[in-house]
Amino acid sequence: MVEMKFLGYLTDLAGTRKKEVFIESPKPLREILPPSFPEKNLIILIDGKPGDLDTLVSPGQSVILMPILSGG
Amino acid sequence: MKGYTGKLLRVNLSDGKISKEEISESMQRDFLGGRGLAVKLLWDEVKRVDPLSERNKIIFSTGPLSGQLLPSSGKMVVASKSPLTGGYGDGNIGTMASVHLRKAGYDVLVVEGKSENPCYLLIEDEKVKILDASELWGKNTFESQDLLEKRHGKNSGILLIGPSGENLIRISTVLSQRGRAGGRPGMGAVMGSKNLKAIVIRGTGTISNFDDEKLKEYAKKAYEEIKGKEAYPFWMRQGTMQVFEWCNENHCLPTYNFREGVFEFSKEMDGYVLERMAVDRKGCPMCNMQCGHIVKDIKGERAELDYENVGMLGPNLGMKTLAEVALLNRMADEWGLDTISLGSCMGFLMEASEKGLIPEKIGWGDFDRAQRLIQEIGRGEGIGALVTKGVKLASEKLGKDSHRWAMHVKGLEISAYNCHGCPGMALSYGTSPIGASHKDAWVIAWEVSTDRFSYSKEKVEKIVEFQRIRGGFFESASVCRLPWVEVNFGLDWYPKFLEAITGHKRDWEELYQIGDRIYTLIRAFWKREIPSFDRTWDYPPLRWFEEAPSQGKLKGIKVDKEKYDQMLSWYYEIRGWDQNGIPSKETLDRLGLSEVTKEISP
Repeated sequence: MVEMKFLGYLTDLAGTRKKEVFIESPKPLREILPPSFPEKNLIILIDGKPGDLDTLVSPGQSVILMPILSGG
Repeated sequence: MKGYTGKLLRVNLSDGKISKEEISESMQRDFLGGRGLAVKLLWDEVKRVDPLSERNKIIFSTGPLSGQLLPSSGKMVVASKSPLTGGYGDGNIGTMASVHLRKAGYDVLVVEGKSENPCYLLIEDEKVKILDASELWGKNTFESQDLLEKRHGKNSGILLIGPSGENLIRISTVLSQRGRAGGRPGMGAVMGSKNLKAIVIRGTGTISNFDDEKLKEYAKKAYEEIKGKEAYPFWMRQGTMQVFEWCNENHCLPTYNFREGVFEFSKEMDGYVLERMAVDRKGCPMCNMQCGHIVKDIKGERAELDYENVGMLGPNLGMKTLAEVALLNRMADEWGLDTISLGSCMGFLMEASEKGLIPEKIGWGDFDRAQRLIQEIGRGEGIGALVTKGVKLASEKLGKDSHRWAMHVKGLEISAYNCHGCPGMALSYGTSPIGASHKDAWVIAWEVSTDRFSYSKEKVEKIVEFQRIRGGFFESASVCRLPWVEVNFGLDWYPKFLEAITGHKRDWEELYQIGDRIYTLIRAFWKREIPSFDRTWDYPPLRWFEEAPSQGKLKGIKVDKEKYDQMLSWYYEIRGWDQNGIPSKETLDRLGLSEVTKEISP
C-alpha cells in the first residue's frame, strides 16, 4: 500500500485529499497517478524526500504532491 | 512614451502648491514605473530626513501596465523613506485609485510637506484640491471609506489611513476598499505625519497606448487562458489561503512567535474552513482571479482574509478558530495596522509575558486580551506602546536578550513563513529590499521541491532570479504577480503586453537589468540613509540560527550561520556588491548609476 496525499488544486485532479494505492512491487510514481496529472510545477515528496514522476515508489511509502505556490 | 501619461502630480501640503511635471522618457525606459520611479524620486529628493518630518515625501506610483484592461493590473506602489526601518520602504496595493490616477492623467503622485490641519486630497482630472478632513479624523478606515464614497461617489479611487496612522504608529499601512492594504513599512504613519487622512481620485480620461487593438486581442486571450487553467477553480475557492495547509505540511507555519512550524489547531483555520465560512469574494480592479475572501467574523462583521493575515494573527498568536482570527483581522484593517507586523508585535508581547519580562499577563490564544491589545497598539497606550515602533525597537527597549526572538529583518517584521528549515527563504528575507518581506522572492516552494536543507549557490541564483521577476518587473510594471505562479499564467505574455502598450520590444534580459538597477539603487538608498549599514543588516532573526522547533519533522533543525554567510557572499557577488552589501563602482557604472557613487563612498 502507498499512502498518497494531495494539496491545493491537485486535490481536484486526484478527486480526493488522501488515498491509499495498492501495489505489489516498486512502480514509477506516474503509473499510480491519474493520467491527466501535470508534469511541471509540482513538489513531490516521497517519505519526506524530493522526487519526481519517474521515481520508483515502493509499498509502504508515503507520497505528498503539492503545487508550487507564490505566497500570500 | 506611449502607455504612460508622462505626468507627475506634486502636491505640497505645507504651502498648498500643486504642480504638474513631465516624467522623462529616460526615467520610463530605465526604471519602467511603480517601484522603479519611486526609488529614483526618493533617491533624488529625500536625503537623510526624519521619515515622520515634513521633509519626507510619499509617492504613489503606477507602471505602464497599471489600470490597463489586462489581468490583475489594478495595482500601484506606495513608497517613502520608512519610519519603521529608516531605509527604503514600499508596498503595492490593489485599488481603484490606481486606475483613476492613470485616467486622471498622472502616472505618479508625490505628496510632500505637512498640512497644518487634517486634510484629504481630491483629484478630479486636472482639478486638484486640498480639503478639510476634520470630520474624518479619528474615524476607522471602513467609516472613512463610507463617508468619502457618499461625498464623492462609490466608484472613486480612495486611499486612506486609520487612527493608527494618525497616531503615527509605525506599523500602520495604507488602506483602500475596506480591507485592501499596502505599504507595510509604515506608509500609513507617513500619511499621518503629514495630516493627510485620504486621497480621493476620479479620472475620466483614457490611456493612450501604441496598439490598442493588439492589446485588446491579447487581453481577451489572456483572461481566457487564466480561466482555463487547471488550478483556477481551486484558486477561486481558497485563494492564498491554500498556503496555510501547505505551510503546516512543510513545517513552516509561523507558530507561537515563530518558535514552531506546525500548529495543533491548523485544521480549524485552513483553506477548507475558509471555503465553508466564505460569504463573498472581492478583489482588485481588472482581476478575474480575485483573492479577497470575505467571511463573517465572530461578531458577524465582514472580514477579508488571506494567508498572511491568518498566519500571523492565527497560529503565531495561538488563536484557535478562524472566526476569532477574522475579528482580529477586521480590527487591524479598521485601525489601519499592518496585519503581518501586528501579528509579530503581538506574538513578541505574548512571549515576553510568558517569559515574565513584562508584568502584563497576555497568554497565547487569549482572544479577549488580543482584542484589547490591538486597541492599545493602535492608540500607543499601555503595554501596546512598547511595540508601536515595531519589534526591533521594542526589543532594544526591553533588553533581556529579547532581540534574539524579535522576528524582523532591518526592522520590518517577518511575514508568515518560518524558516528554521528553509535557509534559502531565510536569505530571501535577509536580502529583500524593504526588510523581511516575502513578496520579492518567495523561493520557499522551489526550495522545498529540491533539497530544502542545502546551502547551494544554485539556491542563491534562484533567489536573484525571483527578485528580478517579482521585485523587479512586477513591482515596477505595477501588476499583480499571482496569476503567474498561482495558476501558471505564462510569463512570456508580459513583454508582449509591454510592446503593445509602449511600442518598444523589451525581452526578459532587458527587464532583468531594469530590476537590477532598481535593486542596486534601493541598496544605495539604505547605505546613504544609514551609514553604518553592513552585511549584518542582511541577517535573519537570531532565533533561526540559535533555536530549533521542538515539534514535527524539523525538530532540531536550525539555520547554520556560517553557511548562511557563504550564501550571502554569493548573493553579493551575483549582484556586484561588495562584501558589506554595498554596490561597487563598476556595478553602478554598468547600470547607469554612476552619479550614486559619490554619495555612498566612505
